[in-house]
Amino acid sequence: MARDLIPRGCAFALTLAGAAMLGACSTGKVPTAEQLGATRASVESAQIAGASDDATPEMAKAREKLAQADAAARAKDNVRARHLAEEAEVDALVARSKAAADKSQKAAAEIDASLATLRDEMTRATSKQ
Amino acid sequence: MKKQQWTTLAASIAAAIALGACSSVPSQNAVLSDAHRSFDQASSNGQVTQFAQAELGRARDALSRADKAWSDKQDDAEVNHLAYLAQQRTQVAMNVATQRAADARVQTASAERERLRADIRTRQAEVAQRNAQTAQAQAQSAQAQAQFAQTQAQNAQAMAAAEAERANRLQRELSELAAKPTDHGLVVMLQDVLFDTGRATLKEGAQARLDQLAVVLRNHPERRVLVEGFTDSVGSSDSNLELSRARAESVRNALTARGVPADRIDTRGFGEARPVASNSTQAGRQQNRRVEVVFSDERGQFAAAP
Repeated sequence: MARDLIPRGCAFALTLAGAAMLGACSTGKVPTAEQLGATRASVESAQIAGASDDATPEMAKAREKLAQADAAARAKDNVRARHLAEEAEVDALVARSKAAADKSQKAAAEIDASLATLRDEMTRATSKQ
Repeated sequence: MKKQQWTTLAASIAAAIALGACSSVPSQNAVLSDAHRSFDQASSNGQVTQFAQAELGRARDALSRADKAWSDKQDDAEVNHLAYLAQQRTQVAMNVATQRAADARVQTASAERERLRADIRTRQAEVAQRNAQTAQAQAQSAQAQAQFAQTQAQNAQAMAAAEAERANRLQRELSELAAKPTDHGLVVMLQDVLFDTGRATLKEGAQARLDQLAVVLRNHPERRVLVEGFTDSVGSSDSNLELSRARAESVRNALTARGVPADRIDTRGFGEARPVASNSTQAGRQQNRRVEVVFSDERGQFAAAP
């Protein structure tokens, strides 16, 4: 058979090289350890940026999907691993942006409240004779 | 390929481009439809287009990839996956827009807060200054009032002193005329050879005293006088009453002739009433044929009806 012309070890090396090439190009169909590592870093940095599981359900979703991506990669379910890794990354982005939006909105509410207090003070200062 | 088939394909491509431009490819995939709805909503939101252009662009790219997978008839898992990514990218754009709008609000509000704080400080300083000015003005006003009161008191005191001085002077001048203080004021008695019996004509010897009296009256224009005529008991009481009035009138005429205004002089006649000596002797009758000049007080008032 023609297939026997290529040695087994050689086929394995070719597969690895192909995977590496695909991984380097972001449209690749197979997630590499590198891609999973980047996803993990995104999820963790979102966590550090203040996105807690309680405040944003996306954070829990991201962590869950990252674990599932790891499992899928171990089971060689590459398409599913790639999908889960990409979704985990975008979920972490949602969680992170949500946490930042909440924080800024809180700051805006606080400064608006202090403005209202100052306006009252101004009214008193003006009416004082 | 036949010509008609080419035309159909071209039309399809044109339609796809047109639809892609407004990002609403009709889709049977539920996840992809949801992603389109979310994206349309976000891109018509002014806050998102203002603050999250780049994020919205990435969401649009993700949506295009999902649309392409759908039109390439890739499997549902792939289309759903790409649609999900687009959906989440849209959410990221909305979150980023919310965050940046809030940050912008914080920035403008901070500036406004600083301005307001400065205004309040200025306003408070103005109020404090105005209060101080008011207090100063009040103090000055109080001081002025005190000074005015003091001046008035001094004036009153000076007027009282002047009045006392004039009274003393009158007293001195009248004492030279042998005036006597009585119940109804100072009285100057004009007697001793003033009139002949039954006559109202002033005798020559009376002129010197009338001169003195006129001088005193001119020196004290605030005083009025009541000139009272009297007679001895010779003759009827009616004729004596008439005679006493005529004598008082003679004195008044003599005073007005010496420059005393007539309206300061009143006259009355008492006839033979209130004799000051016995009518049984010649000397006594002469003393009773007299005129008394009663002086008013400073205000032109007489102490009591004489």
